[in-house]
Amino acid sequence: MERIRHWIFIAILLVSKSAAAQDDVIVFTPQWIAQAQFAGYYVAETKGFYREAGVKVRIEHPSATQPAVNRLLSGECQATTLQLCQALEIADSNKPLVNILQTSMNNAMVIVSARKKDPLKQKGAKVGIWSVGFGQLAICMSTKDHLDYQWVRFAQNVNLFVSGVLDATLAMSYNEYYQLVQAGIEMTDKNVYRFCDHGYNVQEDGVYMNRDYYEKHRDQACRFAQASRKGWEWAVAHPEEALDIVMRYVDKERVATNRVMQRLMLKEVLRLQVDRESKKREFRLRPDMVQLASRLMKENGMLSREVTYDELIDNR
Amino acid sequence: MKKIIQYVRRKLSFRVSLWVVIFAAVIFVAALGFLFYQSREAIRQEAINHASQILDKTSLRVEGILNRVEVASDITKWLVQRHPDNADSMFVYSQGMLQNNPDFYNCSIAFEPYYFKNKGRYFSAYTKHDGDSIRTIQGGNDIYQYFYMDWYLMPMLSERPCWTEPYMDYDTHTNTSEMVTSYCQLIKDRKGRKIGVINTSLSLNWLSQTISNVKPYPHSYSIMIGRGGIFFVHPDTSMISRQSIFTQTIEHPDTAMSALGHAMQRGEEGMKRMHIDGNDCYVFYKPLGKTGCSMAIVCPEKDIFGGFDRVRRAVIAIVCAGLLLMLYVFIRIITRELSPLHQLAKGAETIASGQFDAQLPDFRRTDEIGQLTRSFAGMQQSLVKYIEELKDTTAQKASIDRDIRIASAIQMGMLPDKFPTRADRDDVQIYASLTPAKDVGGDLFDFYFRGEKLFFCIGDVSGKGVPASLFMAVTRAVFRTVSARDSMPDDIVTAMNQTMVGMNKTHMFVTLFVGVLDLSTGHLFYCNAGHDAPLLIGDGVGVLPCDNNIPVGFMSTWKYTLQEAQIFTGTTIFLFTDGLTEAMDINKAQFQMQRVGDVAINALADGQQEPHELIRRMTESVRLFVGGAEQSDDLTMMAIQYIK
Amino acid sequence: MKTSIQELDGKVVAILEGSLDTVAAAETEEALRPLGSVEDKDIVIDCTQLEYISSAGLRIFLIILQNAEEKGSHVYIKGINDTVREIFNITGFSNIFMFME
Repeated sequence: MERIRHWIFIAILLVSKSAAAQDDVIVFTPQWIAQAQFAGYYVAETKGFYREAGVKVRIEHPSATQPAVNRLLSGECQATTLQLCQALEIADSNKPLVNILQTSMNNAMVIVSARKKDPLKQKGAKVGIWSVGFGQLAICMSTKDHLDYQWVRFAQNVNLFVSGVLDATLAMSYNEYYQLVQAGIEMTDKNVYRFCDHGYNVQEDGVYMNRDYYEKHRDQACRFAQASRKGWEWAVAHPEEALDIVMRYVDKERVATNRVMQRLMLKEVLRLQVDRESKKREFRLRPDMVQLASRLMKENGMLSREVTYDELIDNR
Repeated sequence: MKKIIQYVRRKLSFRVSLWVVIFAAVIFVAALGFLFYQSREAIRQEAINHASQILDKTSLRVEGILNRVEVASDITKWLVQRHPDNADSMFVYSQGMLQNNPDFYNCSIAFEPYYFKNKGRYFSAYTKHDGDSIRTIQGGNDIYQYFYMDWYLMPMLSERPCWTEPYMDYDTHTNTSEMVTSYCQLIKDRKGRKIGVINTSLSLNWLSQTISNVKPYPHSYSIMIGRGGIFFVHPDTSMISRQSIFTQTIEHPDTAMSALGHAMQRGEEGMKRMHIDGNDCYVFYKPLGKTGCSMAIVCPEKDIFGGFDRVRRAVIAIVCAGLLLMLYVFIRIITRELSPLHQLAKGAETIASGQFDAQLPDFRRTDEIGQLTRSFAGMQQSLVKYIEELKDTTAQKASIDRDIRIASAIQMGMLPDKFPTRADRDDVQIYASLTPAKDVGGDLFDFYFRGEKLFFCIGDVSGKGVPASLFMAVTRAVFRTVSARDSMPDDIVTAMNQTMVGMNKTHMFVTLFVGVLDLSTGHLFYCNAGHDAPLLIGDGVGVLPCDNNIPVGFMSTWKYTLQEAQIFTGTTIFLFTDGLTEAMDINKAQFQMQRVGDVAINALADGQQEPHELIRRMTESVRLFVGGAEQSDDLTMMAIQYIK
Repeated sequence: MKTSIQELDGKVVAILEGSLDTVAAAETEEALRPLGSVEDKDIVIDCTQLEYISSAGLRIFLIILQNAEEKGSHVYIKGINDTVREIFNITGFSNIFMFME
């Protein structure tokens, strides 16, 4: 009897430990398929920064069936990257989030016009927009500047624009922009409109967790964020090696891209991390940008209220 | 370098061979160069034609299939448009498409959201081959929101049928994926509203294989790019779907590659010559129907011209080797042909060294060498003969010279050599000198005493040399003979003249002055036959007046005149021949009578009119005047001073 | 010393130019040798250009004269200058030749 109790006790201990161990793993789902946009996290995993920080992290990429946001909201992952505007929308719908690490300090969205036209002169043009939910600022801008674009939602690539059925398309300066260059499209100052240069410089990518999960695992989350930031900083110092690491993830996930594209993406993503005013990598959410985005989106009916800066941060 | 030039200069065989080889080389270069150029052009053209043909053929095959898709799609669209309200029949149509065309990949007939009110938001009749069977399902759902797909949006927005960019189709049912391209057409209802899209897909496997197999040359390869330049066929499979034709040019600008990419994107067909990966290549490109894709064949020049280049190198090597061999052989041949010249040269050297009768080699040849040999031999014989003649002549001349010297001695022996001075006689002192122009001369003088009379004469035979000396000898002999009998000068001269005309066949004559001086009285009888009048140096210098009788020896009938004069004590009669007055210096100026007179005047002034001294002065004066010029005529002077 | 022979008005004219010294005598004698074979014609020796004559030259004249007299022709001396005339006088040759202007 003593013996059996002894063994049961050990078994419970093991189970609870493994349960705790289960709790310890943070499943991190980047916003999209494996690419240099998430280099810092790959570096942190490969270089063992997470291990050094004592956090167990598993990086799982989203699939067509389960986009990243869904996975976060359903609990399939504990952390994900979101654009600020997305985060505002989610927060607005009473699903509280916490920004544990802000990587992007600048807006990366651009409008590229076809046939060498000027985007600002293309009133009523058919403009491609992501169907997954980016581009809020663009919609605001179209309304505000009375351009009345016809938004055409596309699934994932630049083929529509390249085939000529669109007059213009939204693009990320680190992603679709280079895909267009790779497709032989000529980019000039005239046919490329950069939101960051026209008063819409709202930062984008950050790592978010559900608030309740965050408050239960604050310490872990902070370590996770720190290690991730370390990963990014390492990438800044060793861009070519970071690129090697990214390519390994790319190849594993069988993503249809190449080293040139990833190098350009990494360079641009790292550049966007430098704050315009302070010229430093701040790794923080800026209240003024949160306010700007909130206001614009409320004006355009995307938010029911202005979501505040405090709602997105850990205010302990 | 200098040594080489020297060698070339020396060796005729090398020079000639070199010229021949150079000339041959020029001809070869011109001919072969032209041939190679033309051949290369022909080959290039052939390659272009070949590649173009293959490209066309492949393109046609592909277009054939694409055409079938388009036609099938058209038919189905027509069917759908006839009955656009029957949702279930869409499955039939979609299935029918695949049943009739087993090589199609899948077919979707997809409609706008909520078009079939009872079917919900999504309605897409999707059919696909599944092994041996065909699977037909409704393909739209929240996960697969086909409204945002390329194949749906493109025809919707452009309102034209179009082919999509190739993409990976993931079949979640069988967990497989395949590269496909889709032909999609817009469906409109009778009112012209856009209601849906028919999408028919074609696997690219077959296409990739067909294109990859296009390999006109061992190292050529084919590529296919889509509208966005992405490679869908490429020998390096890691590039497929992942890189575009422009990718590398982003970091390493390559205007040629960019130009090619843009040309292919624009659906152009043609050929470009480019530099790819360090090789010069010909790239032939052609669009594939209306798919927006374009294929290209890359043919490295090395392949195209490989065989030609090998042949060309071989021919050039053969020509070079041949020319070198030619040079060598020619040098040998010419050297051999010219070896007789060496022997001739050696023979000539032997002759030149003194062996005049050395044997020259006989080659028994009729060509130029033979002619040269014969000329040499002829020259040798002439040389030998000439040398012999020269020897004879020299010997003869030596003997003649000997004789002349003897003659000279004889002639000098004929002249009186003892000249009486004051010490010898008290009535007269005499001195004379005769310097012939040659070894023997034609001047003469003579004097002798007979009783109280001094017989003297001076004469000049026309001419000089041996003939004149012989005549001179005769003249003297006749003088002695005649004057031994006659005492009057005119008689003497007349007699001499008659004698000598008779024995004178050579038209020679002698100018003569004969004088007989009575030593006791100082009375002089004389006769001048064409000779220079003597000077009288006593009380001043004067000329003894003389009649102009003709010289002795050519007119026997001439009457010679007698003249007489009184010679005072101390007076010197100075006789001379025209060798004195006509002594020439190097400018052919003559001494002249003037100077003779001057010397006489000076001598008289110095009190030096004694014969020996007078003649010495004259001699000296003439010598100075003549300088280095050759003596032109015999110089004879005689001075007789009456001192009683 | 130049020598030439011409026919003029039925007479044979020998033209002498230069200085007939002993040196030139030999070739002049040779040049005038044809005069020795002149028949039935008078001979004129043109001395207008003759500057000088030596005893050897006189001998040549003498030969011409003797040959001509044998054949019955006359010999005339034409145009002698003062130097040559002097020599002719001294040697007495002026007595045996005929002169013309």
